[in-house]
Amino acid sequence: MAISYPVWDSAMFAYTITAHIMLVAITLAMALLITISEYIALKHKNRYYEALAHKLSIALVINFSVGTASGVFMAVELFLFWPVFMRVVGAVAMMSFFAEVFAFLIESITLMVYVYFWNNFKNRWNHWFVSWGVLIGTGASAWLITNVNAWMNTPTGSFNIPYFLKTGNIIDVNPLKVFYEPSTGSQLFHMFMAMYFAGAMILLAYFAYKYLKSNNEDEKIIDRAAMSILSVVGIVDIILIGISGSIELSTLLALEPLKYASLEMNLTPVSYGAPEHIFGVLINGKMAYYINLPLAQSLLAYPLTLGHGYIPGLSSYPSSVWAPSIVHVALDLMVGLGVLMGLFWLIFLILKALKRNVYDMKWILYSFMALGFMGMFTMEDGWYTAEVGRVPFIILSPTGGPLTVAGKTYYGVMTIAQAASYSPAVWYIGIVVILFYAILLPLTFYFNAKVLKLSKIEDDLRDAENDLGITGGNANATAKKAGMR
Amino acid sequence: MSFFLDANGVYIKIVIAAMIAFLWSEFIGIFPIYMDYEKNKENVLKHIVPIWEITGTMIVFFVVELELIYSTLVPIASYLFIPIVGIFALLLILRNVFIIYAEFIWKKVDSKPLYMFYSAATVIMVIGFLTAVAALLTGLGIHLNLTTLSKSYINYLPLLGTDVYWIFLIGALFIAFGMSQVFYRTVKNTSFMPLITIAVGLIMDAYAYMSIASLDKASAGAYIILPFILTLAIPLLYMYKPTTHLASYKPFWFIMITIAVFSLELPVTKIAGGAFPINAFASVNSMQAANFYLSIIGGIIYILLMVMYAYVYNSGWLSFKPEEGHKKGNTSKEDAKITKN
Repeated sequence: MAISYPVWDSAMFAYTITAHIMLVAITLAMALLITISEYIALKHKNRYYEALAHKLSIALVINFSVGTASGVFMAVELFLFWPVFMRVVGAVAMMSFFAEVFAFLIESITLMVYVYFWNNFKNRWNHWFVSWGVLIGTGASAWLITNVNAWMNTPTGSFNIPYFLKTGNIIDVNPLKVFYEPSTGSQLFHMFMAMYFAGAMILLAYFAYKYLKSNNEDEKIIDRAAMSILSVVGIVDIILIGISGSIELSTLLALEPLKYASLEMNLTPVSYGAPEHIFGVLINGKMAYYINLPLAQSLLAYPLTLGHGYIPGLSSYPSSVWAPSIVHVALDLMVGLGVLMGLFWLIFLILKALKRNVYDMKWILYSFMALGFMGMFTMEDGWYTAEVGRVPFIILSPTGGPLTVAGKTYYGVMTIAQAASYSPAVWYIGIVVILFYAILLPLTFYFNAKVLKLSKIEDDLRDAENDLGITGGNANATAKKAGMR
Repeated sequence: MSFFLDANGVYIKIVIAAMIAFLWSEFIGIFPIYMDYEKNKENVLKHIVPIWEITGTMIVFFVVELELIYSTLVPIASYLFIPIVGIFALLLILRNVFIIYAEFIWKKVDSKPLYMFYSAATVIMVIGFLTAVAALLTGLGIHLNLTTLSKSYINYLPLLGTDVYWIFLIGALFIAFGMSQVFYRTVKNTSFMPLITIAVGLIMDAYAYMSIASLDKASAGAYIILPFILTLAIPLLYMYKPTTHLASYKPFWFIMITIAVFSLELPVTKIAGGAFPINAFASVNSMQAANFYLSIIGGIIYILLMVMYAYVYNSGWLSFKPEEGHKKGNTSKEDAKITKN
């Protein structure tokens, strides 16, 4: 067989998670947009924002239903494709997954109440309050899942690792350690910012496209309302992504030097003067096709000491534990696209400061559409960088460096090869998975878009007026009051 | 073993019972959907549409609890159940997709085939689940290779060749049919049909349970009495006019089914025909303790959420008076029809 079981299992899981996190990012952003929209609608008695919240909530149910099912599938896939890994997770880090179930319950029950019983609330603010359940539930689910990933990167103190490496048995378990591993904070911060950004940018792209295509003035007002909120989210978020990304790299430098060296493609460790390599690949152990920025890496890593500080290098580790050099390209691509998107938002802000009507500028709307693709691509790329950077391990060493147990040196707790399933059934399931998501995902996005323009806009606005208890004349007046121009 | 392991053992059985109650309530919807879609769709979908997502959540709940409490069982179960669990998961996704598309997308297109597909997927899932449970409990067809786990598999033919399996399955279908008539109020309350079908199903399943659960007849008999009474009480209450609505009142039905299933699970402590005590696969004690405390917190959250759900479902009405509640809250045509009868 040309493809080994571990490679197949990894590829299938990577494929599944690629599809899944797209849905998650959109779900997170939708939940946020709904809560903000309904707040504005209630606060300013604005029927456009109310209609937007209602339409989005239906799209959210579709997204959520497919996302939930996909999440269940991923849980099952973990169980089927990674049996040995899941045995350790079950014994050591499962509390976070377990807590996630409750977050998931909050999310699913509040979403059902929010959408299906929209008209059962006499006090509309109580209905808005339920949207917080959806927002908190979706956020908490993402948080609790990422906890486990942080534990895989720095599994410190959650169980007796030397004993496990020696005997294969698990003792001295601290079941709560999974919630506060050293890398947890920085990883969560960066992950949340990236996910919300990617989801928000996809929605922004959709509303920009709709705005360009639509001839209906009411519909345009709704699209513009959505773009206004999403622009604010985009600007705030891109700043936070920059900050969190910097913290994340500093954390890697301190806690995961092997991964850091792979990501930065540092061949030798230095204490000063590390250059930044822009792109490039390793060929026969030597770097090629890269741009060299002297001193840049050291200065970025240790700005307070003017670049004096330890920068790890791959030569400190055997080449068998180096991650594939493509991760370096993936990292640079992520950073480059992030900077590009940041520059766009800077220009956008300048235009706003100059009182320009940005939503009537076609190039801005086309840029929004490009941002949708770029935001999602960058998030996926970042995810690959983080995951492939851990190869060949699935659980890294708790020390960040080598760990010597009974005279043997380990650079990680468990390799992908040790964790994988070797059941022949994984081939068939994998093929079904490929076909399945290839059909499901485009259909879901298509239907998401379709459901947002399914009903007549006049009916939506009339329903919104009824919800808010306002008349048509008042509604128009309050639309202006709420910043709709 | 420890208090925590025992407590968690009970807890996961409650989770399984609740999961089965949710899945069962959807499963029994297939009878009215297939028999007369146009007539019954409003009544069935009124129940299914808001809860199918919670069913999915309960399934995740069960999988995670299993991995947490009995973590050393994971690699073995993974290799043994990989085909059936894979199919189960795919069907779950398809089912969710079809019900959501049917509900929101194709308003101009007949949603009947989509709901039919949803029902069919649910049926296969339930049958697959029952089959896997039967294989796990009886050990029939299980080929376990502890040295090389990838060589482990289940041959379902021995199980499918036993009369007990078919009695178990057909009995379950009988109960499901009778329950659907009560739960979705598709027959008049004067009809004996629900009582007869449920009674026949119960007799068949009681016999199968005695064989499958690896218990001695006296113990099995003792644990069957309560589920027997509770399950029979539902059609009986339905026939008695003052309690007709109570019998098909959803929260009441869920509680009754959850208790009944839980009672059947309670004595089951061994798997594979009694060869392995389930506790042999348990996680370490500290994990059990953490699970126990988090379960209490999560259980409270869950109950509060369900109370909120019931409150909003009934338009702000929560007291335990089904008939008045329906008059005050979401009165359906079916309610009115049944009351007339």
